[in-house]
Amino acid sequence: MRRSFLQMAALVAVGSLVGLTYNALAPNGLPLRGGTAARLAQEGARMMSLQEVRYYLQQPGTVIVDARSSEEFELGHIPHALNVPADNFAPYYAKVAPELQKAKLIIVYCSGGSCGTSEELAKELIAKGYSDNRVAVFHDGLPGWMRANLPIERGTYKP
Amino acid sequence: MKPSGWVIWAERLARWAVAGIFLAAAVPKILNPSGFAADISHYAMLPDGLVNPLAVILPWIEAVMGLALLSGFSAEGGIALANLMLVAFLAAMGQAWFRGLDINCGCFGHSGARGEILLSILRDFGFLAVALAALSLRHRRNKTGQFPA
Repeated sequence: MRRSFLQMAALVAVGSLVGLTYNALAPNGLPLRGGTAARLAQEGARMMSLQEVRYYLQQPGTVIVDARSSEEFELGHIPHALNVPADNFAPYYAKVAPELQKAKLIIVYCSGGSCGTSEELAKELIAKGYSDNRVAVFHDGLPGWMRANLPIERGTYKP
Repeated sequence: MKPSGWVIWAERLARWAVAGIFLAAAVPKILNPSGFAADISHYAMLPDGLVNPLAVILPWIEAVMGLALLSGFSAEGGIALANLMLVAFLAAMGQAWFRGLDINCGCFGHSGARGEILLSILRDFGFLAVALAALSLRHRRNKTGQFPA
């Protein structure tokens, strides 16, 4: 029993040490501090709070994009949002590309912290050549928007 | 008393199977730490500040443990750790399923696929059965005959 514990501790210690060393040397090593915001920054996107989103939505040239499915979008979305489901990127992107290309800032969101589609969409947009400072992820997503009692729109997106 | 041949081989095969599972799980996560960190964060069960460090060390613990199980060096602790980790993974996926989170399990690397958490839970129960068999056989082998751990 004692030997098992010692061996387990040794395996965890060696694994952790190797992991930290590899991460420090690897070109795609993760920033250990800064959590999600630091990870998104490394990928070329920035994370935005609700306050920032509200501020930037007042500025000309800001476009907000809902990364959820069209069915979810129809049930409710942030006013004036475009819909580009991350799961079905190409056809939806083609519809909104002219608007996105004109945008100074593109804010993407989905269903909040546990959904990954906004990050997936941000990566797709960055891969399409939207420069680093133009793509932001509203991490709290629609639940964060609704918690603040802000209005939502219903219905399909019509380009 | 000398352990019978089938116990030795059954223990070895079960241990190698567990090693294979953990090594196969570790490699894609090591190659894409950012994707794995995203997967961990989607479980929404850890403070944000712990997500990146965990994404960095967990795959390497899996890899080192897998190598230990494969080689037989520190195999006793390796089997116990594999069982503990599988129980922890099942608990994490179980809470995600219970909360209705539509996420990818991230078990074998990052993918955009979602809605598969229940399948991942069932699969992990299968892995846990193999790991428990390895633990039990190891215990039996230890009791019936001495051999280096």
